[in-house]
Amino acid sequence: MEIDVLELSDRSAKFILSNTTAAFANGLRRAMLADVPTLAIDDVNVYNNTSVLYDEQLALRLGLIPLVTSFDDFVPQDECTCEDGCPACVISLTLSVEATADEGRMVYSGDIVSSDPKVQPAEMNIPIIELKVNQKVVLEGVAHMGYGRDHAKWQAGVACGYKNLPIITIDGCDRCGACVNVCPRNILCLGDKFVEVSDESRLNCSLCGLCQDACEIDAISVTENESSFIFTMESDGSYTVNELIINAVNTIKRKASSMGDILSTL
Amino acid sequence: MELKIISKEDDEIQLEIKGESHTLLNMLKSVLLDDERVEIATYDMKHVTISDPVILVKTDGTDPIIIVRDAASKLIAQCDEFLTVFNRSLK
Ligand code: SF4
Ligand code: SF4
Ligand SMILES: [Zn+2]
Repeated sequence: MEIDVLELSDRSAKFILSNTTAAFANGLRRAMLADVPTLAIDDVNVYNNTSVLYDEQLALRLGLIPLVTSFDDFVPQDECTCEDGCPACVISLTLSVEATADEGRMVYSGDIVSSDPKVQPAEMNIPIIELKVNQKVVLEGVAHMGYGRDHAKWQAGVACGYKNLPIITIDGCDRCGACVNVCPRNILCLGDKFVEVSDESRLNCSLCGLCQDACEIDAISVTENESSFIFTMESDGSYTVNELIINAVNTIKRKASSMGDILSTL
Repeated sequence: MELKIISKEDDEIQLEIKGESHTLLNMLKSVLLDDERVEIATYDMKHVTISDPVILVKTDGTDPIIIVRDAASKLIAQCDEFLTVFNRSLK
């Protein structure tokens, strides 16, 4: 297995994973989307809501705000050893905003006050509700760890996907230029003797096959490398991309080892 | 996780894996199919959200429990390899 990191920031990454199976690549993708638990507001106690939005709608919006999560400090409530909520599975956040008599205001995710300094909204400028004059919202949101497979609010990975590494082979090209014109990604160009494609732009190839169809003498062919994958992924901010990848692999590992353990006892 | 043996013979097993989904099962299937001792490895999930997946493994006569256990170890090894390579690629 090899990994070639092309881009990496806190929120997004692009890397090539090679010498592996499609099953591993897909397992990694699925784990990042559905199997790494994150914190999200799950229960809301509304004390006062004179805004134009229903309580339920407000609760949905609060749930969808990504919260920075420390993976090792929290567990999903039904996996926790406690009976009905403890600091390892429940965290309380409050939101109390009132517009003045002269001026309305927008309530942002940054107005949420968390009882744990480590658990904060991942973005401070997500609009929640616009309050008109004298309107107010006062509520408590209770966040739980949960899985992306149960609700999108617990999904840490967003836009996680991969495609096979394209292989473009050019052989016997007569430089007619038909493929260059037809390529929707503009990745082919006419070289001195034949069509050329740079290594870097090759990664943008969508494997659409239009160049193959356009070539009358079958000089260009596009195939996919079945053991190499170009991954692109983003994180919603609950974890850095780096943590998310590691948590995802550890999640798979944990599943496999608990299965192995049970089988050894049979 | 909870496992339930639905049927077992000398060279075949049907195992229900409670609480798991395609994430684990598809990886497991792929590792099993790489094993020369395995003749058939497949799984079924009747319903995406409410069913537990059932894996079926038919072997050349080797105890299927040992085969599935080996597959779980190979999966762990793949994850470890990924983590090592990933950490190295960040340096
Ligand atoms: S397969 Fe499509 S994107 Fe790739 S080089 Fe050919 S025309 Fe361009
Ligand atoms: S269409 Fe075929 S012959 Fe024409 S430039 Fe492209 S590869 Fe060469
Ligand atoms: Zn608890």
